[in-house]
Amino acid sequence: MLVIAVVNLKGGSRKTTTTGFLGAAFHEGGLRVLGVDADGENESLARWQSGADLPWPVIGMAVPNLHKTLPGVAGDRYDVAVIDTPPMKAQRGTVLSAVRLATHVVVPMAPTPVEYDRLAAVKELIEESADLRPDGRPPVNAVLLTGVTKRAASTAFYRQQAEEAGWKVLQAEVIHSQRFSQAWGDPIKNAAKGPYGAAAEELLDLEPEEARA
Amino acid sequence: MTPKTRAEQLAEKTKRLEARQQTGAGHQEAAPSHVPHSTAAEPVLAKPVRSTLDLPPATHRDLQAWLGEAAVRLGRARVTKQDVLEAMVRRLLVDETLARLILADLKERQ
Repeated sequence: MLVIAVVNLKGGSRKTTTTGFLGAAFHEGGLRVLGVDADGENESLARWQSGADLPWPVIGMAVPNLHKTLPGVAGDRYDVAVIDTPPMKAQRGTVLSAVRLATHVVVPMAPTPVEYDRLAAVKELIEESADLRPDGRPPVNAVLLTGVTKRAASTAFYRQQAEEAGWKVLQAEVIHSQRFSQAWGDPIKNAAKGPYGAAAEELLDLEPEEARA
Repeated sequence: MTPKTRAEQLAEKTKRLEARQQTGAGHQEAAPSHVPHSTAAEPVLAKPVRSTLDLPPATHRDLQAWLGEAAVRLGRARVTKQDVLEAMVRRLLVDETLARLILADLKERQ
């Protein structure tokens, strides 16, 4: 089972939207998808599932030992688990646990100063997870630029900043649009054809960090 | 031949990675059930005595959550029940105030 954790320590960084669309993209490919809502405070993914009757299950699992609990719960019944993680600093243990288990980490980030400012803390957490993982290396991880304004210079600027800080930044970009900003609570259609599908495909093509160089 | 849709390509790539995962080539397995966490030397002659503990499910859940937070606060990979219980018992045996509080709890439950 691939485990894709959507992580950003900052709130309002489109984690739930990203998790929902990634899950939908994999589901459209006929894969058995499990959504995991690790954000016990908001439970946005779980409520999206029930509100829109998404065709793949979402379970609530806001626990700091998610890396142990989830494999037991999921068993071999799913091909992909997508985890929506909490933003709160106090729940860093839950985020770390999700990253510890993840095969892939997506960091949604709008190209703005306030979002870029928190990126270093995410990197620190991902690197910390390496020590806790059986193979001693971090999960495959990348930044996904979201809320992008067309033709804005900020996109290229923050892409370059993130790359210079050692991040892999996916070529796929999620343009700011009503389709995504108003998506929560509605059924998700054609996710694979859009930027999230492209992002998922790119992510799966990435090699683990040690093999990149 | 009809070109593959992105959804189909995603499915193919996922299956390929899952297969690699199962053969252990290039991907992580689930986290191990234990992580070495103690560097204290094992006593050579005094074998530890194992004690088991039954907790109500809600208390167990709260304890698990506490252990996770404690690990973060201590900057450690994990804090185990063993760590906590050992520390608590050590303190109980030397701290009269704590001993009194525990006795009061026990009395209240009688």
